[in-house]
Amino acid sequence: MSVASSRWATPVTPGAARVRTVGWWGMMLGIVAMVKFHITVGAAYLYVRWGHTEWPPAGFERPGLTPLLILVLPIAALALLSWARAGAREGSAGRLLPAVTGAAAIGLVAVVLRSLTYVNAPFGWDEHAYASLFWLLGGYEIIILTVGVLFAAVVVVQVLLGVVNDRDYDVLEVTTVYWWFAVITSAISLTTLYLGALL
Amino acid sequence: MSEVPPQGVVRDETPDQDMLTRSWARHPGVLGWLGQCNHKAVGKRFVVTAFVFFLIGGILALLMRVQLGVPEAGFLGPEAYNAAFTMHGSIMMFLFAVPILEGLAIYFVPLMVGARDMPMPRLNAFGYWAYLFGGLFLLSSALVGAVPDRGWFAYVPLTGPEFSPGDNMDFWLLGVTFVEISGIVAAIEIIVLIARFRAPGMSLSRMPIFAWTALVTSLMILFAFPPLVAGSVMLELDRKIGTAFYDPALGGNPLLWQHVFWYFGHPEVYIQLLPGVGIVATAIETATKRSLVGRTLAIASIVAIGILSFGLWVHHMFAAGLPTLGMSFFTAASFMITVPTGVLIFSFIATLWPGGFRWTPALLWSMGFVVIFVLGGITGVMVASVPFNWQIHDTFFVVGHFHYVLIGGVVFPIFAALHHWLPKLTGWAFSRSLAVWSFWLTFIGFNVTFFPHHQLGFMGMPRRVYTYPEQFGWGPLNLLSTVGAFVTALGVLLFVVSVAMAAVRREPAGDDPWGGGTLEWATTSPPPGYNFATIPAVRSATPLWDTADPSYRSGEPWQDEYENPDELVRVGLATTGLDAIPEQVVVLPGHSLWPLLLALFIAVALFGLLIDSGLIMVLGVLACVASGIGWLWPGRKP
Repeated sequence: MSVASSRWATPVTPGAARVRTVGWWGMMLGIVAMVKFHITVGAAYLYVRWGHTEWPPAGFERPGLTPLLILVLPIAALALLSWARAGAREGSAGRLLPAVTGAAAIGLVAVVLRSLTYVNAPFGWDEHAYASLFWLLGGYEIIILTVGVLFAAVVVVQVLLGVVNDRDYDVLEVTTVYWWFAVITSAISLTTLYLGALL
Repeated sequence: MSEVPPQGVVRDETPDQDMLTRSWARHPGVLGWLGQCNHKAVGKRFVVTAFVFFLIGGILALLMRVQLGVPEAGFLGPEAYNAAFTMHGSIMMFLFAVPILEGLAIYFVPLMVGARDMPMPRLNAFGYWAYLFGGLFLLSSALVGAVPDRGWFAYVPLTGPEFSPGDNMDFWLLGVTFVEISGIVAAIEIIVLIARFRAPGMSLSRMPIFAWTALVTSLMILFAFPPLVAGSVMLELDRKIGTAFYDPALGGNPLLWQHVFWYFGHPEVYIQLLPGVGIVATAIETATKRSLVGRTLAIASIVAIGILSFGLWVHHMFAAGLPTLGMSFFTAASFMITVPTGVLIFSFIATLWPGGFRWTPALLWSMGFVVIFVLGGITGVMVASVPFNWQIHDTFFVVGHFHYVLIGGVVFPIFAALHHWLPKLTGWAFSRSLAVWSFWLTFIGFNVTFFPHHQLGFMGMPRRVYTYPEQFGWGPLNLLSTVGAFVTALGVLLFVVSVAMAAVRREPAGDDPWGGGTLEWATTSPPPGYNFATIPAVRSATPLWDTADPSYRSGEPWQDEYENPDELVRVGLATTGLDAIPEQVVVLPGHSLWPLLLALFIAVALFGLLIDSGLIMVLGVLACVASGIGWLWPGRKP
């Protein structure tokens, strides 16, 4: 999110074209708040977990590691968005539509697959604190990914309408920054829920 | 650009003030009023709304004092008393103290740093609407007879589904969460404002102390409020869908709530205190016409308090059966925070020491802060000691202690701020004699109310009891406390009368009635929509004491765009984070109803959750998504 990508900011010196917009600062601080929320839920998971000698508790199946593979999808979506952004920075608008559409579609597949792991979970959220934390951490991740898909979908529409192009693409920059956060959230949630259960 | 920006060299071009006025004017009609996003409109709304909540919370306090005035009184029953102390605490903590300080920061920090508006005005407006709807959501519980009644701290298991089966705590959890989101939004705004919108030359070392406290407080909010949101979400899920985060029968842990709540709750005290420190420093500097003695050390102390405050939360849980080593650590950390606090108090005293200052009303209230807060701080050190804490835990001593901290440390500075800045905000002059009467009545009334609480605590009177038997001997001190409460209320009432009289008389206050040194006094009272026609330049922490006209006059091309922008385009200047060197001219959004609509639809979704209506909740969420898309849709290119 540099000044050069924004229609709302004009650099006062040539060097200022590369600096961050105020919107970037706002987005980063919003992400900090969401990360703190995530850390609190993660800390709650660990606090409850260390109160038990057996984890997952007796009667709960240890989850397999297959859902970890889903992480590839948000990473792929992020890669496509970064590729589109790099194209815009180089003055090429040709990548915008296919790359952002692809990112939205892949993101949607990630949301569906993550949701399926919950629909098929062998326990309900009200059976044990372990199950509650499992659902909350994963549910938060799914919400974050869903918002990312919405962001990408809005960019697709804006590209089609011509309001996002190789000169004005700050909304794409916002979306890419957001997807970095989504990927990291996804990685932490999946690691905590699936690898953490092995500890 | 050099570190000393050019000033006072008159350029040929002058700002087109008529055009600036048109560009920054609000849209006509009710929708225009509702759609205002300018920092002055939003800040004023925060201050007025929070003060109304303060009056409501104060009335609840009086009701409680009437009930406790004599033994075995029948004025309030136990249920009503529980609801009164819960709502009193919740209103004062969530709806008054933090929001009014945020409102003051939103109104005055842009002026102090020489900016035209907040960097993201629509987000700023959303913060206000979220606060208003969250507050109304909480208070609307009274309309359906489901007032929260389990304390402002909402301890589980008392607030869990088993022991609070009604909607009472749902109102609390959803309303408070909404208000916390508002606080986070305001914090983001203030951080970006201070990081990027300072006037040329205003390096961090030249930033006003109040702006420093606003920055540190906002960073603290960013790290302290999300945990409460997370804790509240978990508790609401326990209540609504039967999750088991806090249910020990299903592997949960009720102490988890206390950890999460106090991880928020203790920094919250300093989130309220630090802006108070900034206000008192401002009042002292203005009255003495001197920079704060040890200014750099005072700023370092503010930062240190902000960091240390996150390491104290367990001292609220000493009676919860935690390991001794852990409690020792938190006792030590609690003692440690007295060091930077002491530095600040000595800095204030040293600045006043040479004398020769004017007793402005703001200085009077600030001295009230010093006296009362020091007493509250001393009892704070006492309760941070585990053996003492165990003796007075859950007694009236603790009530006395935290009212000395919070009223001394927060309410007195807020009144100092109102006396200091209301002439700028309104343009009216206020009666000095009424301000002095108001101060002394409040000061005396406060001490008569709360000093006896310490003694009552030593005598064994527990907190949160709606009455007590006569033979315990607590009656006389309670009666004295009740009389004091009404004297305090009279002091507050005099302040309201003072504002009303000033509004009727409308005697002009002048642009700089106190001879202040910071930039808010460089513009008119009240300030115009655009704040400054020409951006100010700063060479010290008190630019108005250096020169009467701090206008930045470099003749660089961007300055024309800043002073004479296209018709109806609002522009601001972003500068570098450390040295405040001009970097980019930014177009700022003006009128927008999206923030209002988004906040409204969030409230609709929360209402659906409250009444277990999936349909209303889903419709609310969909409307939120639509509002968000509308908000983010690119506007007309300037």
